[in-house]
Amino acid sequence: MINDLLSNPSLLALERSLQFMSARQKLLASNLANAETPGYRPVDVEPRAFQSALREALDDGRVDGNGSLAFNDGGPVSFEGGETQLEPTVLGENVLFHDGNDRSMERMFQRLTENVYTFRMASQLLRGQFESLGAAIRERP
Amino acid sequence: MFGVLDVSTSALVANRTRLDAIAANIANVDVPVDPRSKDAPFSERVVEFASGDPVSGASGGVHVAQITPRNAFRRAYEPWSDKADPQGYVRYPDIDPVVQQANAMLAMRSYDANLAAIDATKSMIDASLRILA
Repeated sequence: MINDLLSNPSLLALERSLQFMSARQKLLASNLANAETPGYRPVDVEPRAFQSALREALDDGRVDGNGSLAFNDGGPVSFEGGETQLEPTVLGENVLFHDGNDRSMERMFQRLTENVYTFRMASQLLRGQFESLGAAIRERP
Repeated sequence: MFGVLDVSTSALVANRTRLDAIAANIANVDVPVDPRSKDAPFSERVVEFASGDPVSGASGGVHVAQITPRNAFRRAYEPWSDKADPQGYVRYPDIDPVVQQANAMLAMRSYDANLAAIDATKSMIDASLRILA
């Protein structure tokens, strides 16, 4: 009974989304930190790739040993052994700089802001889920 | 999630180190003797970054790979100085204050950008703390 309550699809999807976004935040922070590093290439995992992997996992209803969603092997995102592993792709280089580092602060901050606000939205939704569970337990809103 | 703060903090440290070097370069623009070498003039310190953070062992982040002296000097005709060579010239470091100012602005902007990234990460941590509280 309690397992069914805690394994509804939106709860599982929100859990994986939060894990993905906190791992992605590290990539984006690293890109910003290396804005002045000669020869550095900014990297990222496109959220679109994660979303399609999430959709596949949800459609197939695949669940791992911990009761969390299991992702396909070979994708850019995997959650083996409780660790979020990202396979980032290298973003394009900028020919204006002779070392090829892109240094596109605006794009990086756009990605960062996007990531933070989707994270906050997902955590708000997750909080809502837990609150309605709590309301059901207390039998009053 | 707290690992993200390591990444941004490593960039703050690296950029502060760079700004320290730039401040020293500007301050020593007229120093004909480097206290380190005793006889050669002060030479401009050039800070080089590399990715990765060997201190915390994190894969992301940035650190100062090396600080190299740029041994470029200008000569001024000052025969009265005890630092003058037999021809009467004293060697001074060839430091261009304009270049130093531009580098200082870059370091400050980079510092600000990483501070903004830290603020963004902190708002994420706040949001995840509110899930259950």
